[in-house]
Amino acid sequence: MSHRRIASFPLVWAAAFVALVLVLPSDSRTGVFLAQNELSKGLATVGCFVAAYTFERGAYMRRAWSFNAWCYLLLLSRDLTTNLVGPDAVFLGIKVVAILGGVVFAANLSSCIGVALLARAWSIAGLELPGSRTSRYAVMLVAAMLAVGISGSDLVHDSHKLFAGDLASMHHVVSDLGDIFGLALIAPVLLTAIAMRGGVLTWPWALLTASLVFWLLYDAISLIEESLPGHETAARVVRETFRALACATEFAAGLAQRRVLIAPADADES
Amino acid sequence: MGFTPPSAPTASAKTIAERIADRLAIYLGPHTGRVAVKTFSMKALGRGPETLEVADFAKLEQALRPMLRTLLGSARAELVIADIRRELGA
Repeated sequence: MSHRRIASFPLVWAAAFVALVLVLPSDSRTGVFLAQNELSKGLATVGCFVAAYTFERGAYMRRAWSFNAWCYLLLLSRDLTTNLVGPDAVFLGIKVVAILGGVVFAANLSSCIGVALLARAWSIAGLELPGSRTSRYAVMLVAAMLAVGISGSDLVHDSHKLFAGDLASMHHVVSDLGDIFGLALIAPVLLTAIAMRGGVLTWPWALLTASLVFWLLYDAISLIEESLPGHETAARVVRETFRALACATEFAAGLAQRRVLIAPADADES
Repeated sequence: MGFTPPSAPTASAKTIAERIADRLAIYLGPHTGRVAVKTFSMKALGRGPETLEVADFAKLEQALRPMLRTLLGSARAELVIADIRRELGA
């Protein structure tokens, strides 16, 4: 499969989801939202593991991809547990909601480490990112400000709920912190993709950047959703579409990474 | 009297640095391919890429290897190095 075909998959995936949602009456969409959420996370998990296991044991990029894969796998297990058991159930004397808080913490920690490893790959390789030092810092600052601007209000909101005694908000707080950290690292991942333009490695890095941007947009929709009374359904469709795009793009990035390593690099394609 | 159009430089007309950069560019892109040759020839040999000779590649590959292993993994990195060696006849 060519890199272009791999890169077009997320659009097909998201288009199929939107088409299905538009065809169904609004009261029958819950199942589609749920299925899309879990299938998308499943895809992202598979894509990241595929990329990780294409590298040999101990390889730097294997660690980076594995941490990202574990994030999606843990979130998927959280979702399945919530849907099958329910958050109020008790397991070994511990409320499931508390266990799930730990799972979400581990998932976010895993994602942060994974994205940080990806963001550092360029300097670990001994290369310099493109542009002057000032312009690089400027791009990183803008990305960090965007991340704080978009996910920061969620963090404040969820922190208030947590400090008011709502323990269920704990995993939202952890998730918000993870979002801010991960999204702030868009800049080095983007700069890596730009540095490799014209080479086949630009494909996985550009797709990884796109995935992070889609997550940023997903969070941005969540932010404005509350200020759009009467448009909740439309906002949810848009938000879920960005989730589908983010996960499917990470899946595509994993496949693109594998293709670079196992297939002879074809310069014509890049 | 005919006109001979200028032709693209052949592999032998290119410098050693350009030939190495071309191989790296398949993966890293042309810009980073050139930057990598410059960076690692300075690091490994203490001189610029324009001074590179075929005999220098033994040292240069030691410097390129960790970079290639990080981005491509060991197996692909060794294939790329073997490819460059073949290209240079080193």
